[in-house]
Amino acid sequence: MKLTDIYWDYKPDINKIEKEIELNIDANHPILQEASSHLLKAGGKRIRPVFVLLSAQFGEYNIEEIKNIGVALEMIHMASLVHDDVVDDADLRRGKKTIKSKWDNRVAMYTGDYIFAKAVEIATYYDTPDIHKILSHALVEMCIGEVEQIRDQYDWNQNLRMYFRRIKRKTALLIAISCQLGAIASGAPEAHVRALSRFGYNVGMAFQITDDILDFVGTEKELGKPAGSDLLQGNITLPALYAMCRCDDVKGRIIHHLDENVMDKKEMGETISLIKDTGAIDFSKNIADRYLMKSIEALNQLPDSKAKTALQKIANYIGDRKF
Amino acid sequence: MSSTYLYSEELKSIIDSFYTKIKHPYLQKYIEDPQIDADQAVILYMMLKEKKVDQAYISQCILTTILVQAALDTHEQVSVDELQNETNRKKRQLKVLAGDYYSSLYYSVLSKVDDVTLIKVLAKSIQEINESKMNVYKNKIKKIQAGFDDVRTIDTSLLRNIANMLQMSEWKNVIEEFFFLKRLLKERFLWLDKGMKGSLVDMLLYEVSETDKNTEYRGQLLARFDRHIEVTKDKLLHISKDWVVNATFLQKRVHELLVENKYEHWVMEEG
Repeated sequence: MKLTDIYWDYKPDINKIEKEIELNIDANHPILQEASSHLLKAGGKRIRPVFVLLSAQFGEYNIEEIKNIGVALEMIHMASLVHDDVVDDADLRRGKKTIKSKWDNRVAMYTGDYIFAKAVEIATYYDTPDIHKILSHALVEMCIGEVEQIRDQYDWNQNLRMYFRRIKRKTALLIAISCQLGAIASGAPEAHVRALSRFGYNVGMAFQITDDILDFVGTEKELGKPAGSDLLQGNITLPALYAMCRCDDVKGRIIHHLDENVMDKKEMGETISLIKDTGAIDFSKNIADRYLMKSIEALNQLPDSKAKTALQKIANYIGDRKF
Repeated sequence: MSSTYLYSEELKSIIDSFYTKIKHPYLQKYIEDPQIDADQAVILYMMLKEKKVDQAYISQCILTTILVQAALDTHEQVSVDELQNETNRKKRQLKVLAGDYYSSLYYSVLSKVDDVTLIKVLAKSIQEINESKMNVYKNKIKKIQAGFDDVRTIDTSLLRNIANMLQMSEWKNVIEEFFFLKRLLKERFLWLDKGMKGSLVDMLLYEVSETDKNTEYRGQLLARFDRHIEVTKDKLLHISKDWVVNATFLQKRVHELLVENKYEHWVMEEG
């Protein structure tokens, strides 16, 4: 099953959000416009707007009232990807040239800043104070998370707590607030808002851990980048952290790579095999499953509905996804 | 540093709160704190004082405006060159993230006081500034006036839009001419003293014929810089006559800018 099959019923409203994004990235400068449109065409799962729409079903659902939250969140996500590609010096994203690669870093900075500001302006459609408090707090946290990711790069002496805090800020927060803000914008009861926020947080954590697992078990074709890319970039994720605790050989190899930054494809292949041998993948999968279980527990606080079933299916999809 | 930097204890404490707000140990380890444009803060302060808004509002408005400016300035420093070493790589990464961080802070500060109006004004200004930056960077400029307009937007969109919001449109001319004069003087000085070419150099050269570009490059460019400086200075001083309350500040600051950027010194030398 594909993710789009799950939210097929909401396709017209997702298209509406897509259309709004398209309208809103229409800048005056042709390159700015082209860069934004290039980004839009690169697509993505649009998972954040989906969470907004589904969560809004627990209140007074009116697409005209809630679409701006979905648009703002997706544009914030898009802007952060443009800047992330400068941070990572990445030439490709989802198989397409990044803005920094097609043009240069400066164009990427201007485009990201433009889209981010536009997203904030769109969010001002709402004069509900909570919406801005929640959104801006999440943005600050996301930025701190990104800074800490740079700080922790190549640091083999980090612990699990640092990893979980990092992925919370990096991924889970934006998904949590997508659910939370969708519910708030539709005037859902407070208990439902809380449950949806918990759901989003736990799904987000599971989503990122699954991403981190796939980086070790996926093929280059599936991933669109070489297996072990995270480690090659000095990012130590859950499977590597676990394996380092369980096996001195793995620890030695990883420390050597992180200190010297010299691991070729063959060595990476061997290291990945050793990581798998420690049971790190099963361990990480187990942790991801626990987060998914908690997300289902959060959903159980909500009344039965089509939206609830769709959210449940998304959680299951995340647990089962292969790439 | 400008003598107007310490315009008042009140302003000084707002600027201190800015530096406290942006403090992050890891960022501080690798990148320098952003420099505040004291003139931007002072002019905004004078504007808000004239409007007689309350002290809390003055603080929020200035703090968030300088946060936005710091974000834009930090992103302007992100290099486009190939990376030479690990330290430069880290610095570039952190400049991207620091700019994003300062930007998220302005939104956070204003959302805590429910000031959606100012959030909107600042967000709109950031869009205008980035559109103009792209025009200047990618040489979309076909006419010198359009180029100057873009530079004015880059330097003053934040203050102009705040003036609009406060219904103080009479400030817009002063703001535009003052910051344009500042830009002209600074770029002229950097070009003459260090050979650095700012955004205005290409625009001014647009007026110079191809033949003169080859033979009379320096003289032609300098003459154009000076002509625009004189026109802008006169315009600004003329406006300041009607602008009674803050005329003294303006005249004093214009004089300081001329001295700081060795304008009269160069004019005499070139003779």
